[in-house]
Amino acid sequence: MLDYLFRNRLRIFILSTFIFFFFILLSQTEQQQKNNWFIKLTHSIAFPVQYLSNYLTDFCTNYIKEYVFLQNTYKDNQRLLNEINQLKKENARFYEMAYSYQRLLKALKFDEYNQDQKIIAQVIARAEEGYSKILVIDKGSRDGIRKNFAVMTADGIVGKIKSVSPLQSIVQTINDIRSQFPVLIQRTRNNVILQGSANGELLVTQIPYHLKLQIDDRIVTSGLVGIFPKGELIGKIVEINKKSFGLFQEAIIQPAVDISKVEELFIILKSENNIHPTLFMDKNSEN
Amino acid sequence: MTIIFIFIIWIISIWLETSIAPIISWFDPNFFFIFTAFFVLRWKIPNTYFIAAFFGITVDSFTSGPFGLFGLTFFTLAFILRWLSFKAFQNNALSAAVIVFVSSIMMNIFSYALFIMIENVNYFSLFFPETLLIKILPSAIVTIPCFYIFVKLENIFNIHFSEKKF
Repeated sequence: MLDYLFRNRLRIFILSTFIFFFFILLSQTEQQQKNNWFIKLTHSIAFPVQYLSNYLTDFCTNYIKEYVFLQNTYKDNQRLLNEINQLKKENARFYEMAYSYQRLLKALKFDEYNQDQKIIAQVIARAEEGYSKILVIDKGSRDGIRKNFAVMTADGIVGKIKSVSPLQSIVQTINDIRSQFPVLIQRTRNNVILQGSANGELLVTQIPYHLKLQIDDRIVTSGLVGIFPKGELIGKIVEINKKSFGLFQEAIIQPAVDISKVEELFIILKSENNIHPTLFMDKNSEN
Repeated sequence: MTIIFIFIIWIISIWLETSIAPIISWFDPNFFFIFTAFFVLRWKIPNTYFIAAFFGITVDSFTSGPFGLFGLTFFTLAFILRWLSFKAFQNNALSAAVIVFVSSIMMNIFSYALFIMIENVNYFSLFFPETLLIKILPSAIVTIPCFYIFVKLENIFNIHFSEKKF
């Protein structure tokens, strides 16, 4: 019997396998497949292989994306850089508009409370050659501007009209070395001389030696030469130079207007409601 | 050595079937069946029936169908393949590809029929034409490179079942 079984072992194994499959399939006709030990073992063995394969596939895919398709990345970079540049330009334009709005708003408010007849002009050029400090504005004799008219901003005095052409004018700023005119120390009411200097500093000279100056004393126009309306702010004292002897002392003034940054300014055509009208004014306006 | 060789082919089949084949959805060869066919065609020993059954239940492990469906299919197909190994197989890649193509058709028909019987499905669909294009033809195509890999590995592992005379 055993000898028969041994001789027919292959047939028996084959038959057993068929029976095994038939039974296992029949057992699943009514119920779903359940995880058996073979499935678990197969999946456990397959996991590291699949994990490694997936890792390598990802690595290769990323390598291809990062290096082989670098050309596309380069193009994308260029496009994005262009976009960034465009946006920077737009941003700068918007900032400029915001700053312009602030400046013009300030000018508008100044125009509301200052009763003088004036026109607004734009600085179109500035020249600082050595001691000379001038501004070129976009309004000229056609707009009623004449020589020696006062030029100011909402913050204070800028200078005076030095020369006029029909379409533009030259403004001599108060810190120009050749600019010199009498001003008033607001607190003490002393008349002193304001003059520019070679290095652009604004000086007050011919201050009586005995006068007790203070830092931050305000300097205003005196209205004496008939150029500037009386009482307009020029600046404040930041440094006092008083020697041990002499008749006068002098002081350095910080201008109320930052002349290097001024963009819009007013030219006074005619002073209104000023007890000391300016000497130089628009004759047409006067009539 | 033979066991290690079978194990390595089994692992390669799992890797190819579960990690490589899914990369292209319209080109999905059945690597388990291809390597099963190689075992039966080249070795020509009756033990290959059980290798086929083992590969079959491995396929069952990666399908949602009834466990043993592909085991029985592969096991049954192994008899036909063994017969074909004596009658049609020329011990080259091209004849292996033809046999894999024909036997794949039979395998799919058999497994589909078995599935219908077990699951009591009574409708027909375009499942088979799709299978022909996506699984059977690609299986025949990749048989050729796989055959050379199989032969190369046999040489590496010093397995000479294919040189036996029957």
